[in-house]
Amino acid sequence: MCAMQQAVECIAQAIVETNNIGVCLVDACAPDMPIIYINRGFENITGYTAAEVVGKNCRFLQGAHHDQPSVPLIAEAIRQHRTMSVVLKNFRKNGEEFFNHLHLFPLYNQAGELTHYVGIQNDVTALKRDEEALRHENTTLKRTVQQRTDELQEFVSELQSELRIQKRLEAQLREMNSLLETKVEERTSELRVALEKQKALNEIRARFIMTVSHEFRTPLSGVALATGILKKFVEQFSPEERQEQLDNIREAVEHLTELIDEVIFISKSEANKLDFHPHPVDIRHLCASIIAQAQRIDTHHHDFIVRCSEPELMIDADERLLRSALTNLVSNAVKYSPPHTAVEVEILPNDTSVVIAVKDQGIGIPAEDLTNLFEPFHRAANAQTIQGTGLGLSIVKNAIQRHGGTIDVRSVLNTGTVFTITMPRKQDNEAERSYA
Amino acid sequence: MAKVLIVEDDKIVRSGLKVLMVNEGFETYFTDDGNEALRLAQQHKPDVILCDIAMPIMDGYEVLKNLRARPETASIPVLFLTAKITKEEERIGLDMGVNAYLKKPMWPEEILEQVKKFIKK
Repeated sequence: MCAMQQAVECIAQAIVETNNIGVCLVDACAPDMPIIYINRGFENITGYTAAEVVGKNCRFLQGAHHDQPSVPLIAEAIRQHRTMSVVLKNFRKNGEEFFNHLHLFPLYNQAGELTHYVGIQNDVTALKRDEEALRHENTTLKRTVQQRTDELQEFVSELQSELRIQKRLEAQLREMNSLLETKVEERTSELRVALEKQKALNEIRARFIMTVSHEFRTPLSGVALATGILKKFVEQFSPEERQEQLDNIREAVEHLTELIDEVIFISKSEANKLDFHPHPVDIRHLCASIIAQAQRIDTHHHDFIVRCSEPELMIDADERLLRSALTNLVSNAVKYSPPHTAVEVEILPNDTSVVIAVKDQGIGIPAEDLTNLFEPFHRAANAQTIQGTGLGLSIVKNAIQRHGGTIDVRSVLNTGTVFTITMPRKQDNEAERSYA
Repeated sequence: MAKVLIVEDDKIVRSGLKVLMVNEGFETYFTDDGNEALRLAQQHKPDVILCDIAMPIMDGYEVLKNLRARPETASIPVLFLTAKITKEEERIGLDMGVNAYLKKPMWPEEILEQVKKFIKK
């Protein structure tokens, strides 16, 4: 026997005699492959003695657990005469379960025929337990982690939803804030507009008073001069010279009276306190009478015309106001147009309104004066040398508006002017009451 | 004989001033037009010009400016007789170098007194 072979036998002997590694020898040729030998380690692990196991197939160690996944692997290895290694659940003699790490080796004779199997057994229960515990711990850990993750997820989503709510609240707050700001701005600008309006009104009022004062001073100056002259020179004056001064006084006083009446009209009209008593008026008859009056006092031989398709045309109007407005327009037409030209009043009835156009072939109104034409004391650039208070058209406009009517003007310089009044045919009584 | 030029667009005031000046023995010129006033001033060299402010075409300010701009008329005393009676309006006139600022209405004696002041000089 060589040294090598001797060493191998020594190792085999050591294994066979070891206390905690089980070795068994199985007869592969006998029916059902009975155990023919076990070592001490086998006895230690299983609790069975050699006498109790020899002659039995190894499978008794499996107890009732033949359905383990590793069992078919053993059968397959045996069929194929292969070495193999599995972990099996086995039972000790006292019924205690243990995990057996089994290595199976086939043995052959000189002729190469399978004669035996050697089974090496290791009790890996503790290892398995540790593994199980580890797996269990792992699972628990995993579950805990999952749970914590879930909790965190929940917390995060709660946080997110809180954040969303907070964001929504913030947005609402911002919205309300901007709404408030807008409201404040609106109110401020309303107040500013009201203030501006009031300021503008005050300015207009102040300017009006200033202008009225100016307008009064000139005729008053005429009166002062004429009376002073009369007093100073009465002895040396001829009757004609005296009469001239008296006429000047009379004219100035009439001008003053006219101014006062017009100022009162305007201030009443602006305070909505004009007397307004509409009743049916024949507009054609009214126009004809105004034209006749104008013709009587006209010294420049104008050609006066009234056009109306109807023999009679009734509208609701305050006759005094309407007469004053139309007289103003007709006398302007006469005043601002050359002798022998036409002054024409045209009346056009519609369903609910009547249009009255007053036309002349006069000097016209410069375009830049048209915008402020109806403002009190505004006088066009080319009207300065012609006597007038600058209140006439303002009065006309107020009188027409008091009826709910409108007035427009079209004019071509040195060709003529057309004032177009549109009057409603009916006045509802409610308008009268609310206006008064 | 002292000469007075009246520039006034109101017919009655103009007529009154004319009668007043003529009866006081002044050689009197009158017009309602600023341009005509400049022409009359140039031609007759009046001792005093009595001038309204608010007038069409050329107002009293323009008349004064033009008079002062021409050597022949620059030294003629100009008196504004006007309905513009506020302090601000008076300041404008005085700043332009008018010799007296008379506010309407004014009695004839007062006007004469002012006019004579400048004729004596």
